[in-house]
Amino acid sequence: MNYCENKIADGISLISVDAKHFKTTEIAINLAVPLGKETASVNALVINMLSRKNKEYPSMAVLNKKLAYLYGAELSANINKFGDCQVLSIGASCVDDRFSLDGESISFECIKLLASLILNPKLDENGNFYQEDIDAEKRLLIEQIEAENNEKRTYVLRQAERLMFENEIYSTNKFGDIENIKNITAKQCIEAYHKIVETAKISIVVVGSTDTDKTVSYISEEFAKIDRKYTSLNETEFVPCAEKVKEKMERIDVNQGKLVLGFRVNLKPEDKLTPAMRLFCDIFGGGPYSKLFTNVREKMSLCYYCAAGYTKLKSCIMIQCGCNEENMDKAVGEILNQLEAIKSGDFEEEFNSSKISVKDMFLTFNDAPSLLEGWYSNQITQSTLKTPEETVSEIEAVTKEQIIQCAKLLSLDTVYKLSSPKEDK
Amino acid sequence: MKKVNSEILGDSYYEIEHESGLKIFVMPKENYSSTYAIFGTKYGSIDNRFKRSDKEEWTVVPEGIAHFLEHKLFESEDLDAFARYAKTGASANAYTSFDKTCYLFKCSDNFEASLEILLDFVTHPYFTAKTVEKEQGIIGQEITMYYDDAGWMSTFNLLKCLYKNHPVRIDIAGTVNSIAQITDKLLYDCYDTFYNLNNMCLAVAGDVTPEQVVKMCDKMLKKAPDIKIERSFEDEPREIVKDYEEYHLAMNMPVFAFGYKEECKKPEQDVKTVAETTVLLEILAGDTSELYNEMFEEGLINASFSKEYFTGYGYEAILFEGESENPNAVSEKIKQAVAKLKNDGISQEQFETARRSLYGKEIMNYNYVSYIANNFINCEFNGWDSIFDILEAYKTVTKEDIEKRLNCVMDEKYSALSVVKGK
Repeated sequence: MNYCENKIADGISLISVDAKHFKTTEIAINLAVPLGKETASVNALVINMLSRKNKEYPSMAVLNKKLAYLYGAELSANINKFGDCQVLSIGASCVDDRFSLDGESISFECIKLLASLILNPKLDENGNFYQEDIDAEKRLLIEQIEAENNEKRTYVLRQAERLMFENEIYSTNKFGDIENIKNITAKQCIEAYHKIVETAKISIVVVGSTDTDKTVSYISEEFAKIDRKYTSLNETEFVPCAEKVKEKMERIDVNQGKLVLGFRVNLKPEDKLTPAMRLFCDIFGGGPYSKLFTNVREKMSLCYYCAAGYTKLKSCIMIQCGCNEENMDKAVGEILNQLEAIKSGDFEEEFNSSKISVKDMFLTFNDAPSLLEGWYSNQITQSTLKTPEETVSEIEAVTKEQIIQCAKLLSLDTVYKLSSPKEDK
Repeated sequence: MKKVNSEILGDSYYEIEHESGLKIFVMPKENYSSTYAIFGTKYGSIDNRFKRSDKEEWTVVPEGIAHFLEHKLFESEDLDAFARYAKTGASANAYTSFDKTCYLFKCSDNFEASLEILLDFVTHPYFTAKTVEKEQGIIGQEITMYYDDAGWMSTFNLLKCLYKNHPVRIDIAGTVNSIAQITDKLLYDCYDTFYNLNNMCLAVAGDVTPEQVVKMCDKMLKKAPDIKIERSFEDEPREIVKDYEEYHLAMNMPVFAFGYKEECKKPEQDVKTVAETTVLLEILAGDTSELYNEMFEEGLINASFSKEYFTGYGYEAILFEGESENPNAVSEKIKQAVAKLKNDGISQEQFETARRSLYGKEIMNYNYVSYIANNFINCEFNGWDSIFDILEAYKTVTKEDIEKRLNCVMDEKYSALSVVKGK
């Protein structure tokens, strides 16, 4: 499925995917800013606050009523971390215009609403966000962080990242941190807001059957009102190899232990070998045919789950396992054995399975408008856009030699263990 | 083969009574390049006591056996199902719920080869004492994982508060002790009873034709013996067991589940009742409601708040779940809002807003082949005529229907709160 990219202003582009067969239109406005220890919390707070109300819809109840009137259109704010960038988004999903009972253009109404949420915030007579809105949002953002901590699988991954990247910006939590959030002032909020809309790299993604010309001209006109001071984003800090293995055992009251292994990957995000690295990661610990699933989980029963994830932008691979304490060292050893097996070229069957499965998975993106929107939104920090089909061709071209080459680029950096206190045993 | 159209959606599907006894649904989706197939049996964690029409005696089996069986079916004497799918590229999975077990895959290529694998492994069980024993260890770990899952624990603790006898109160995967009692013989008993094609359903949506599906079923499926299954549950009293439960985990943000046990007058709910209750819950606690907005502004709830009409064979409840620093205040607020709505009645505007929103959201679901295929299974096992009925019901339901429904449900006497919080 083809997309069309329109440059609207300096650092602002609109990507539209024309798809008439979907029932919905999906829209997202994404704003990428540098990730910073000092700014992450307030940026996260501001984007959440913008998604709740604005000048025209001054309370959540009024805004929600508008969304219900737009046939249950769904609105959400999202905060992501892509390398050393924090990406702030507001997205909407609404039914296509052909389902409107009164002939109104639902999708265009949604585009207008999203733009207005970003550009016309609800401010007091001094041009600040209302203190009560800030306070409410502080509570919600802290709860968002606490909820992530409730999920032990996410919690232990965050802890491992914090240790592994302790001297790098990347260790910053995408939501910021609780102590910082508590101290955010109204002045910081409005300053952060202006900085975001003025300097962020902005991509607006629309998937559906909207009138692209009308959307482009509307968005151009609206965003032209901002006094832009765009500067391009910095490259993510690249650490090619681990110096020595960092290890930590954290003890909290859990029923099941968790284990995370963090590997540095000596490969920059723009390198030609990244499609091979993606495939390598899938062979290593992706699908049920992968080395880790078939050996560490199935054959040896060391872990209930054992999966690898490649973060291209940060040049790292993280392996997550559900694992009892008594099996942890054995699991680490076995994971490293499996890596050696790939280095020695022992992955004939996994290679074929992985290629066909990864290819199949990317192509299903074209049938899910929300995934397609995410596909393009998530490329905001990249200089050139790729379609799922282009990614598939890159994967198809990967050779076995490249997989071996990729396996040799890994170095173990961090081993993080989570288990219950010893006296309970 | 019967073709069913929805004018609203512009979609059609085919319904087929296959000679093997299997019910088949196929929805071709124009311009789609992927396909989702799901093969399910009306057999879940609540089916622990049953009788076949060709046998005299009742069979009682250990808790968690349906889920155990799901795990075991992926194995065969030679290649397991995952290894076979690895050659077609399909991404496969399975799940067990209270009242069904389903096996599924999605793919963009090699659909027929993947469908052949699905139909083959689900109809060819292979268990031995040794493979059963190995699985007990793996499932034991899975069960333990749920004990750290706050959302899961709060839901199941609530069901234990509401239900005294009905097996909806037990964990879907059972317990380490209950699964220790599972044997290969018991697995075959359950398999032979519930994996009878007359008790199953196949649904496919996406880049597919009904002919492709029927051709593969002709090749792979044999006619199943015509047996009926009787389900029996101990009588469930109207009363609840207790109105509060608390569980502790290493965490900061408390998670809650608050619910009303409803009187289950017949074992399964019709589509009209489901639509009415869904609209009612949207009016009461949807994001345009006074209750939702007040609780949000007072700092009692966040975006994780949800509501559900939770119903299946022999059980019916209304659940509210989420995260809150003060779950007691949330449950009190909900009770007050119910009383107020019962007293004041529903306004035309509240009704129209909720209905319009639900109507749009249901249309949006039809983008997704996974939703469509799963919905076929749900509707078939619930005994509904068509997956399009719910959309029609949203169109035809009246404010008076909702008010009538309101007066039958959410009686404080039968409500309970379950909280999971830090130690």
